[in-house]
Amino acid sequence: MSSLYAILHLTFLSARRMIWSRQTVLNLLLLVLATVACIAWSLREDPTPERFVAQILLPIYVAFLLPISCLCYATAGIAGDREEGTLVYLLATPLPRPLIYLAKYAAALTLTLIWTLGGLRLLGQAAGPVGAQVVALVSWPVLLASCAYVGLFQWFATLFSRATIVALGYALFLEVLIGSMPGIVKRLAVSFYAQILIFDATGDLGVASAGPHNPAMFLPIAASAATLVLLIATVGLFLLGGWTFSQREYV
Amino acid sequence: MTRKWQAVTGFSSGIDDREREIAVNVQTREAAREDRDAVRQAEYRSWSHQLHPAWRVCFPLAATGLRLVLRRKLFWLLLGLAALNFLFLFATIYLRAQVSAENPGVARFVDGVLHSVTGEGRSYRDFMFAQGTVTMLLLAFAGEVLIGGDHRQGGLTFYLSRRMAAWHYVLGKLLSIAALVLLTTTVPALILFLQYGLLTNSLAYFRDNWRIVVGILGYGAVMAASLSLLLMALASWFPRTVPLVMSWACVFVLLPAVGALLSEVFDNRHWRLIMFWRNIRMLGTWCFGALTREQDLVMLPWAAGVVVAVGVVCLLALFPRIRAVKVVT
Repeated sequence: MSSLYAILHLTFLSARRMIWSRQTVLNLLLLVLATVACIAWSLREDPTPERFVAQILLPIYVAFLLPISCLCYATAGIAGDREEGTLVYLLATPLPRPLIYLAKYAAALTLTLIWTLGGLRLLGQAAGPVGAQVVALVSWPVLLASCAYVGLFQWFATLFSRATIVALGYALFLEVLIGSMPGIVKRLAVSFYAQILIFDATGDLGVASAGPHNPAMFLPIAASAATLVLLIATVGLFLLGGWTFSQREYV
Repeated sequence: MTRKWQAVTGFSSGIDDREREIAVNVQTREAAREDRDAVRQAEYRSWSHQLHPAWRVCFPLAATGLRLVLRRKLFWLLLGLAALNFLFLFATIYLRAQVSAENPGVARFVDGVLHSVTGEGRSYRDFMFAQGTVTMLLLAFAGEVLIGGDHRQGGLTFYLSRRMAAWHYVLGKLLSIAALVLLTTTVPALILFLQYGLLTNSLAYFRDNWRIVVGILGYGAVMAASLSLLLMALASWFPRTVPLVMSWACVFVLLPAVGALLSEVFDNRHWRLIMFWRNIRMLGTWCFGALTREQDLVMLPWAAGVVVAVGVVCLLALFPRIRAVKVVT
């Protein structure tokens, strides 16, 4: 009972530290900037779901805001403690390491989901009826992608002392690089599965994958398979992170 | 020894004034010798070299900063990523030269297909622009190590407690960052230029294309100056890694996306001026002498104005943060 209380307290404490931080203020500023862009977009004469997906959802939200919001909290949980030197004191407590990891993960995931899903809804509202219509359909893909990103970035935080830079490199360099490469190598990217699910969810609105998402080049897999991959990745990365965190020495 | 002891302490009975004077002299000499030994043991020594002006402290400061970055494994990983594009172009230029030497008729066809290795200024400009993403990552890392670390761990207070002014510190750090920018963009571009020229049959390539060197150096200088100022301002206000990375990524990823969107929505090219990386590229193109389109020439003063304004704002934002003491409230 006391361990459970301690874990809940740690989760609450971690979440509170991450909320009252500069990264939250910056996250808010980024969201405001994207919202202003959405409002401007809604002023155009012919807003369509397809254009919303191609001009707002994929380049601004999926390619930037989503991974950055996940990175902001998922790496800050453990990497922030390592940076400030407080992780050693936390590990010196009688709490089992997997439970500490669970507490950090729960805090990061909760905040990330609030930001990503809340931010998505805000962008949809700012973009007018068309945006709201699309956003209502893509919440599930965004939720899945957020969970996978949080698992991945928190795993990075257990592995690397500079996990934030590594996570940034993955999100803004590696994903873009392998996403633009021909063949099936793009299946290593979380955003690949998120895009498949987004196109599948918005198919009824007439959104077709075109341009760089042309099926001949994009080589999409079935939406059910993409969902399964993201779920397995989420669980697998969480377990992997917990195991790594339990094994490594942090000084 | 007994006599010396007696002389120093004066405990010996029947000691006269002469012996007392000798004893005081011995005591003084021994004290002086002990002082010299203590100073020698503490490794204090007088400065026997020529004293230099204070502003030259920037160079050791920059060198120390560079060494600090070069010690990290992550730096070498990022540099390896930056080298990928360079190695690809290096190999392509070599292959093109081989194909052209064996069959000159094919050379024109190869130039038509491989736009990235035509040897014109545009090729080098595009290469330097393409290095942008990795340079951005590298600078995010360097900003956290070079500037964020100083603010977080008291390095700034240490530096400014020495006989150096705040602007010496700023200049030294700017030089470190600029060196990293040049290392990933300008130096590889110059190597590619040299390689291209050396693989031709004469020195005519160097003679006819000297303007390219000016372009590479000019573009590199613009990038180094603007990026180092921007990074230093951001890192001094956001010394922790996550906020720094977020703000830095916003400048290079979110702002271009928003700029392109607003430009299309309002059908106004001026919105593209919020794309900082694009403004730098436009100035770089001008350095290469390849800015020919009229609409680009119209936008050039605006782009230069934005880059200069960002630099001035960064400088103004820097100085409140570069202080020897931290006021805790």
